[in-house]
Amino acid sequence: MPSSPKHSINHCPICGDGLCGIRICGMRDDVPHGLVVCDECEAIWLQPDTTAEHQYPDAEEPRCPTCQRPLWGAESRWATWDDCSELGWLDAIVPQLDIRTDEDWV
Amino acid sequence: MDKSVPNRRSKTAQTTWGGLALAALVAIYSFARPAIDQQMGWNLPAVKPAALVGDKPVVDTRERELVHGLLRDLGNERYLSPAGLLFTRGGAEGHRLDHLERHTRDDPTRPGKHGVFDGGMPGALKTIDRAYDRAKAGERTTKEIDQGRTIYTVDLGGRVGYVGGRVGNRQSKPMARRVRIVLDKDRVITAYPM
Repeated sequence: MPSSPKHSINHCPICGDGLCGIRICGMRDDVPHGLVVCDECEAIWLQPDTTAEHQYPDAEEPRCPTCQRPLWGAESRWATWDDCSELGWLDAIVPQLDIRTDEDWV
Repeated sequence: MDKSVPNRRSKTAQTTWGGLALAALVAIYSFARPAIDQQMGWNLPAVKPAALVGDKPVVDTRERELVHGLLRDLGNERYLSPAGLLFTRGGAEGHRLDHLERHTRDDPTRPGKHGVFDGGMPGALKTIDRAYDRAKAGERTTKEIDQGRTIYTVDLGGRVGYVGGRVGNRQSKPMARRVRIVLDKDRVITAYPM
């Protein structure tokens, strides 16, 4: 599932079933920054902490609150392990919420 | 020639009785449908009388053009449901309908729960519309408002799907009878059974 987060920090405290996944944005501008985005309700946190303040993007033209680029555009992606390392957010990852394929379970 | 007359009369009589029986069944169904829907938590289709021009029925071609048999195309990738919900661009998949489609099949590797609607996209859309109608009426609904987003959780009183994902699969995919709908005004952000 390309639209599911690879690494998440929590289940969504707002909608319940969403995964609060780590995204990295601003890659082409060489100023990468991190976001936590619920993959169901699109709540956004600017730090890896879902008890902090959250916000929502525009429903039809969602943009990154930090750089105003399209939230789901080519500038950003669900963060890989290396991305999370670059953001300094590795400690926030909850491994049980990682998306794994069947092969990962073998 | 003469012999064909009684046969034709007999066939005409059969046709008349058949038509009357069919009309009676349609009348009984139309009368009982709301009560059955209410009792069972279903959403049985209504029987609509065909419009007539002269003595010829006119087929309403708009129904054929409805997306997933329910949504009216407003143009610019905007689709309107009978209950008034809008499905527009947006979301990781590019369109809210594409996101909804993820909730018409299980994702067994997904961490946590993953609600799956019965009936594919037509079933999902009908269930969401039924839930939204209930939500607007305040029936078996909890409502939260958060920064312009409205989150309804609606109990539909009967099965609307199941809980999949890793958690659901560990529990043998339990039945779901509630629907959670996240809206931005009347625009659907997501909806799933739970």
